[in-house]
Amino acid sequence: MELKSFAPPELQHLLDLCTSIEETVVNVRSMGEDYIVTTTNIQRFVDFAFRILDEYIKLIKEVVHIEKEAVLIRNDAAKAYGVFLDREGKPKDVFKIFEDSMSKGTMSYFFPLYVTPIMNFVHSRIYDSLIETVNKSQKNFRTFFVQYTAAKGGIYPTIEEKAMIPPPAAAKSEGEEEAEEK
Amino acid sequence: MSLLGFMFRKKKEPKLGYWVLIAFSEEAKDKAVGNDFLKKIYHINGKYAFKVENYSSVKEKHLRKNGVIMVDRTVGQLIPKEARNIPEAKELLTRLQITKVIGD
Repeated sequence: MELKSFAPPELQHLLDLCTSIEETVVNVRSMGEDYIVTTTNIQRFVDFAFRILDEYIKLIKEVVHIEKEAVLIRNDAAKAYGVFLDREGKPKDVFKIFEDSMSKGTMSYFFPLYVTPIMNFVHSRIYDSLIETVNKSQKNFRTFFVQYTAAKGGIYPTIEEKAMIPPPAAAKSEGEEEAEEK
Repeated sequence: MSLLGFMFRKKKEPKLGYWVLIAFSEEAKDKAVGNDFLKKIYHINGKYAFKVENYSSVKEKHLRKNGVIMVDRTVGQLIPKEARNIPEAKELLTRLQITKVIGD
């Protein structure tokens, strides 16, 4: 992946994890249409998935200093991990989730349920925003990266929406006019 | 307007302005998985979609607050409804892998 070379070293670890989670999923799917799922594959997949979430939250904490926005971005990412988390947001015991389907041998039917949302999170939030940040600028890479990921979640406005919002000077003048009329 | 023209006149279709449709993606229908990350928002003007976005609950709130007309096809569905349909016979036959047996 050539795009990875543009990213700074602080962000390199997250991208390495993303590529490795892709490799595990591709390896499992390459076995056939009714693919075989083993315990090692699942454990590897869950490990990578949670490490990506940890790195992602760590990045947000460093860049975003407003608590409300940071919580919104974090909750948006956690929705992909809905199967693995409690209502409070704490991780469940992974063995309990897979206990039934592993013992009955129906893991191949349930595996896409765990895989697809997390892979969509990786593609839509991390890779897409990486491409946009590379096109945008090389300075302040991390801040732009977080802004684009938040914009995809609908938390920050996108560039198109920013153009629609009037500048603060125009809004002030309207308020002053009203005050003068009174 | 002549009489025939009056009798066989076409009904005018109501003009649809800007509206928004929320639906599951094709990946979700294919794999029978439902999640917020597998939904999509279609921005439509009249009949034609001009923009497709990934879904997020914050975006939906923002659109609803601004009074945009919204059609949500994912209400009350953990799994997309289309995933439960039985596929056509043609589609089933294509998935069969027929192999030649040599020696018979």
